[in-house]
Amino acid sequence: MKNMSLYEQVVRITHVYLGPAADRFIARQVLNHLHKEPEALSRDDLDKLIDWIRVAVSLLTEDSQLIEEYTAQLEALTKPQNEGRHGK
Amino acid sequence: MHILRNPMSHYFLFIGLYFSLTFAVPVKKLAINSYYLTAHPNHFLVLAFILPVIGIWFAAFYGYSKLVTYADSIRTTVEGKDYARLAAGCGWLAYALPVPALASLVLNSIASSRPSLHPMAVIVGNFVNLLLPLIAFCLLCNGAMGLTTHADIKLDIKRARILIIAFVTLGIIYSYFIFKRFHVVSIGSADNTFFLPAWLMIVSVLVPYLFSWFVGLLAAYEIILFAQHSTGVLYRRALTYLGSGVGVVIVSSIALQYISSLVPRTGTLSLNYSLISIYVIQIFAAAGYALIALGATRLKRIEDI
Repeated sequence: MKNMSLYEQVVRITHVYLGPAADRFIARQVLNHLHKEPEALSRDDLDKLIDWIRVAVSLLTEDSQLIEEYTAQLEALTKPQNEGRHGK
Repeated sequence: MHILRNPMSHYFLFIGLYFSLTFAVPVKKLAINSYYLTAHPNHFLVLAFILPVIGIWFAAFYGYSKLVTYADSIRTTVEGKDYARLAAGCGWLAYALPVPALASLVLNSIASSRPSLHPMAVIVGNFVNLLLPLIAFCLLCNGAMGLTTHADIKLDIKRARILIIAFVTLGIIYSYFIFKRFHVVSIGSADNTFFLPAWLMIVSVLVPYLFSWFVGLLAAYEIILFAQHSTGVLYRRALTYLGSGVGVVIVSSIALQYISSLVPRTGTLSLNYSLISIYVIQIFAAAGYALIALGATRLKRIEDI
């Protein structure tokens, strides 16, 4: 995931769950809930975005294991080992 | 969606027309005499036969309307055009249910009052039965092919062989039943149940039907393949309903054409194996449209949240 912006990394993880709809889904969450352009997504926004994603995905499926697996992958992006490798 | 473009508006229009025509067309004297009926009970007998059909049409137009709504919501995306083609294809298949039925009512009514026009009624009825699904299958095949191409999914040759064997078997049995209705001594004449000489039957009915079914089977295969191999766990779950639904609708439509074209419409309703088979197949088609509605609703929800 080198040289990828944070937004692209979130989309890449989401692609495993939402396929071709992933990009549109994340762009909508960022625009509607964080009120900013998707490419302007920063690490400070990530916790809030993950919360919104958890709510949104729980409306799509009742599979809690899948939701946990998805959000855990997103939460890994906030951890220190990822610092310096992401965009903003 | 504008009321004139809404498939459900079209459904109610077709229902209105179908009811009006069912009660407006004169009842055949032959039918009245055969069943010892007066004209009005005969109409109610017909109504008992068409009520399940109206439910099946509802499923078809409802599934189509849901798919149109989903396709509209993603029309600006890479796969938007392909979903629009799938929706249009499902739409033509939905229209292929009421249009031949209405055409048959009108044509048989004309043929009933003017027996010399009976061959025309059978020939036009056969072509109406052929044309709408042919357009639908071409659109569905283009849509399905576009989706598999964009997703970089390759056709599995081993599985495609099953499709080819199914098509060849279907075609040979169909040709056998068609030619069984021709007399060897008068194969060049139009003195048969289709009112067409053999060569014209081959060129204008047999070949287009076989082409239509091959395209239809290919579309069903590709849409199911796309649903199985698409990325995204949640997207794939929703797509599986849509893909299975489209597959069931295509196969049911082929089966319906298969039976309907082997036994040309006579305008007389009789309870036989052909009629029962048509009902059973249409119930399968309705289940397919229900799956399309379910899949399209789930896919739309992904786009809405």
